Amino acid sequence: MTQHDLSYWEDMAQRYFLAETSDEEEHMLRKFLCTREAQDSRFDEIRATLSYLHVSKANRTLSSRRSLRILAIAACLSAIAFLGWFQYQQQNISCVRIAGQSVEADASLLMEQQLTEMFSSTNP
Amino acid sequence: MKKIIVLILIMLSPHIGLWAQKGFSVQVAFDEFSVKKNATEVVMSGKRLKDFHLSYFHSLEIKNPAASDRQRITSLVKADAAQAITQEENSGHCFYELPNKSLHAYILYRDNGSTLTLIYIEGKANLKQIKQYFQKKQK
Repeated sequence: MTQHDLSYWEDMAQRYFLAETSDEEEHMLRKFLCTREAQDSRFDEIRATLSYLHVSKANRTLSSRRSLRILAIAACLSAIAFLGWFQYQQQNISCVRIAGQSVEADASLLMEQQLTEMFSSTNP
Repeated sequence: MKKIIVLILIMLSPHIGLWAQKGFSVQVAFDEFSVKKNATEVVMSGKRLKDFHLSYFHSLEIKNPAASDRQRITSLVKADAAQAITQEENSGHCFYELPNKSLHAYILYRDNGSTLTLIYIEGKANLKQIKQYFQKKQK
C-alpha cells in the first residue's frame, strides 16, 4: 500500500464517487483510510462517506438479527399457547359412545352407575 | 439463543403429560372393543371429575361378550396387572394400581357373566377413597 503516493488514493477516491472502482479497490481504499498517511483533509469526504456506509451496514445486520430473534420467540410462544389450548381442550372431555358412535347421554351419570356397580360387592 | 431454547423446553415440559396415559395394554382393549355393537364407552376428564378427586375416567362396558372377546380383554388386563403396585382380586372383580409418577392410576375389571366392565381411572384419590365415596352413594 505504501508504494502508492497520495495522488493515487485521491484519484481512487474520485473514481469511487463515480462508481468506477472495483470491490477490491474499495477494500484497499478502506484499509488505506485507516493509515496515518490518510489523515489528510483531502480524504475527509471519502472517509466520512465510507464510515457512514460501514456503520449503517452494521446497524442493518444487527436489526435483522434482532427481528429474527423476535420472530423465533413469537413462533415459540405461539406453539406453547397452542399446546396449552390443546391440553385444556383435552382435559375437558365428556363423551359417551355406543358401538363407536357418539351419543347424547349423561357421561357423569353413566360413570357413577358403573363405579357404584363396580364397588357394590367389594369390601370398603 | 441457547438460553431461549432451554427456556422453551422448560415451558413445554408440562405438556409432555398429554401423552402420559398412553402405554398401558388396556388402551388396546379400549381401541379394539369400543367399536363393537354391544360396547358402551365413556370418556371423561376435567372439571366434572373434580368432586371425585379424579382427573381421567375411561370405561368400556360390553353386554354379553363373546368368549374370544372376554379372553382377549382378560389377557390385556393381565398384561398390565403384571406391573401393578397393588392388586385386589376376587371372583367377580379385579382392581390393579398401576405405577404412575404423580397420580394414582387404577384398572378396575368386572365380569358378572352378562356384562364385562373395564375401567381405567387416574387421579389424586386412592382406591379406598373412591370405594368409600361410591359405596356411600349406593346406600
